[in-house]
Amino acid sequence: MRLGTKVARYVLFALACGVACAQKSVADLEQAALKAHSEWLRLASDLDVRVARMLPCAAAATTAIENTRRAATVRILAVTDYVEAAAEQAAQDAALAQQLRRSQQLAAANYSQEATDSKHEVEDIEKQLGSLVESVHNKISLTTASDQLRSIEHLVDERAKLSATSADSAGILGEQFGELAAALQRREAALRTQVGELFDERGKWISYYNARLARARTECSATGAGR
Amino acid sequence: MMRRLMRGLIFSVIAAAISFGQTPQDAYRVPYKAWRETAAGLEKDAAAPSGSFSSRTSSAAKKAEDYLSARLALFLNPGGPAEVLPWATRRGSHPEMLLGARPDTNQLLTATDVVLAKAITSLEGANDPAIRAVRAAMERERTALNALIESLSKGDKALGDLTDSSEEIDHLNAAVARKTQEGADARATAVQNIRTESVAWARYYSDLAEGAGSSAASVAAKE
Repeated sequence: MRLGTKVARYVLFALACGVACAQKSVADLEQAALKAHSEWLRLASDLDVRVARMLPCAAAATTAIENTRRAATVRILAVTDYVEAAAEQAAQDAALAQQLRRSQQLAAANYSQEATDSKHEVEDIEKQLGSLVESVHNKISLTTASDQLRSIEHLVDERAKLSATSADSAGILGEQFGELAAALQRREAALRTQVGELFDERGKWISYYNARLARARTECSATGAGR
Repeated sequence: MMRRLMRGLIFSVIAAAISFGQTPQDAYRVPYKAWRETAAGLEKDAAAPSGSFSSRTSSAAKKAEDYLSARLALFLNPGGPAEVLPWATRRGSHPEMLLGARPDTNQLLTATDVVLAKAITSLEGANDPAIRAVRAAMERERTALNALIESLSKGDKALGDLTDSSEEIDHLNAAVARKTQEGADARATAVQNIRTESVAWARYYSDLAEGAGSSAASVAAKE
């Protein structure tokens, strides 16, 4: 039991550290993705207006399009990293939820056993009370002890009920962890699908900005201005 | 790599903890039996206590304390609801907010398409080869743009599934957090009850010895 307790403490430490580290990592990637999105949006939202003000062959026009294309790529890579991390997190959470489901099933059994033991304890106290009441008939000074034993009986009875409630709660919690594990597995699969979608999307963004750049070069060739 | 290592560590340790903690009742059943054996007959003997009665009650009080300490350990055993609560109440990630046709992205691309379409129309019928080349470049750009817009909206179904899964998980997490909190509260109450019981049993054995007239003070008074 002592070894079990020690091991369980390590579990808590590892659990807390593992969850905290992973959470931080996903949160960091989320922030990076949001920042990259904002940066791309800032550059893309007025790209045509900025380029329109420049001469067709101005180097700044090409640079503006290239910077926006780069920002779009950075954005999509950051979002992909974030989605991949979220998928990994979902996988870890699903596995952990499964473990918690099993541990709650065990806890439910343990609490149920605990409740049964507590009821037996109440029965033992009732026997003690029976004997003590007889002794009180012979010795009135034992009344205080008798009253005290009755209050203990009440406390132990409360504990038995509390253990029975805990057993029910652990059983329900076990089922909930099972549902959560299944939902997290579905989420992981949905996120992995999105990673594939993002790969295709990245190609489309690159094609679009390449076409935008090609148009700028064609406009430059057509006018020959700004060289 | 670190994540995989951490995950492996967590799961192997959890598995070990679960297997070690399978029969926690044994830890309190043995001291309970020892206590009950030591305390046997005390209530009956209290009516006519022998000289050793006081030491028997002291011994029973000590065994009761040992038993309740062991019982308390069951409820204080780490890995319970209170420790799981931070995980259950963790903030979920919502990458769907950055995926697909976001309103701001969609608006920008649609507006770009409209401007491009107008520009293409305005160059319609131009005979100048240079202008026609520009128009053709614009058309290629528009084709690429429309492919991008289509690609973003194509994933709407998958994105809808992802959004649904996020909502489902948020809902389940909330339910788990509520139940976990209930479990933690029940444990805290049980711990408090056992501590109260421990004090109550010590007082009971003292009262029993006193009532039987065999406590140290009573014996001294008799002598």
